[in-house]
Amino acid sequence: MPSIYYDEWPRYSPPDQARRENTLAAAKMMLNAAFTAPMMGGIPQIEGALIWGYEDQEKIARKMEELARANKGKRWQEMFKTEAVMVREADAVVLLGNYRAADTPMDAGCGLCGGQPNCDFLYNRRTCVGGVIDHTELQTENLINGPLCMCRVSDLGEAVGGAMTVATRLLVDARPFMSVGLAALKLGYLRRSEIAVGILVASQAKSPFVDVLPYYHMFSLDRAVDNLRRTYVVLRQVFWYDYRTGFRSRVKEEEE
Amino acid sequence: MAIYDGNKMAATEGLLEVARLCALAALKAPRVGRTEIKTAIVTGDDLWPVVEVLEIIGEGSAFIMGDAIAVRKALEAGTPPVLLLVGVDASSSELAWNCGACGFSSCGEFNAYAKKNLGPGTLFAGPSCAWKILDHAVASNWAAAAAWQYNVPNRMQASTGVGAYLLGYLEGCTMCVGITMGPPAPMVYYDRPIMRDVYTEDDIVEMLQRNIPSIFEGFPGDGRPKIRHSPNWFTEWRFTKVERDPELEAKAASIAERVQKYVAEFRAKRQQSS
Repeated sequence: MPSIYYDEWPRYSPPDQARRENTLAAAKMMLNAAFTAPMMGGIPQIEGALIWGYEDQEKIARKMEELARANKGKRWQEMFKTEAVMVREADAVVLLGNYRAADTPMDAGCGLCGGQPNCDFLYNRRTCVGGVIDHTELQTENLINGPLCMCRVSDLGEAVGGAMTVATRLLVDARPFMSVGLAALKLGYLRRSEIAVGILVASQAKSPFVDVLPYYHMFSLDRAVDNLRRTYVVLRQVFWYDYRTGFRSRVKEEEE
Repeated sequence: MAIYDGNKMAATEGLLEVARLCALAALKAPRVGRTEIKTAIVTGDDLWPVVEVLEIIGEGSAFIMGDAIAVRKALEAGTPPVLLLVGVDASSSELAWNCGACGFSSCGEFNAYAKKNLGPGTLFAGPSCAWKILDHAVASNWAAAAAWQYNVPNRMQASTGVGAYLLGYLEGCTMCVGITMGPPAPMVYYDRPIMRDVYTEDDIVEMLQRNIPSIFEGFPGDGRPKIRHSPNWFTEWRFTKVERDPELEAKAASIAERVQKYVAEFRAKRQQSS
């Protein structure tokens, strides 16, 4: 009879991999929910990616640590560094972006972006040929190449909300992050979006995405285990104990 | 026709309504045995004694103090949570399965022992039939899952359960968990925003040094490793030590005494007024 054995430790061991695959099944349904989420006019505008595995999650985490250093704000730095650990501890990353937000706005003159009854605010702040926005032109030095069409951003929110609903219904822990989305965006996991949200997904005893320690990048479980490995290996040697001869007192007791 | 303040209604009537539905879920939950589940819903000012008794216990437990502070701050903000109690009397068994999980070879033996030895632990009372404990856990899980179905922030807590249990809010139980629900907000019981500034950075670092010393440990080759307490740890030596702490022991005793006193006074007052 075939059987599957599940465990969440050690990370990336076969039982852990088996467990992660189940999370992936849930993450895939989350992506579907993102695509079927209600959007203005039902216009297609969402792209997504499912990222998992040590290599790719580590790549995103490293990028986040790099982005952390790019900003002088202490709170921003701690947020990015902490959330980088969460990426490492997650089972998978669901990445959702809106590829219309920058260059093909809703054109409804809704007023959300600039407070005017037209789309002038957006068009006047982006490079245009005729009235067509050149999506390749950088407008700012910021992480996000704004301004963006707020209708499209709202629809990205709908997509994230749909994915999160499915996550809770399927009893997997999930939490949406700006930092993960931007880092993954910079790494090119999404092809056309200027804004993205990364949803970390996990099915573990304790959600890796809440209730963490301060300076979490230094005090995470992985760091603690690594430090124990560092000190334990030396401690093991310092008594030069011979387990075959044992303690004299105990040997005497046994002889008697 | 009328227009209601949605926020206010959700925080009061909505939470109570969901708590009722959660109690239903607890009672309907599947059982492995035939366990009787007891439920009660504590609201408004009746939560204050729970907070007060938890704050006494919390002096010796940071974890419990966090729950006490969460409920206190919600009460003070005028958005009281609703506390659903799910309890069970597990101190006897009618199953006659003679499964041995409790440590006795028959349910009869267990019942006879439990009758004579029923007593309190530091949290709840025992001894317990394993299947009743398990059924109680399934029931409280169903209650919490129901709260989640309605998107109500909630957390299953031994702390509020113990507090309410000590105060006699759910009589005839040997175990009781509290499911605190609301106030409605994205983050209430996880990443608690209300805990901001309760502990200083130094508090937490000191706690970390006690709890995960290996991270702070210097080279352990001399058998008495220096602790890396600051960048000057090489010149200003500090070490860990295993020792008795009479101060802490006295504090624990005082906490137990004060809890007992508070509970006795509260129960007497409650009996008088009823």
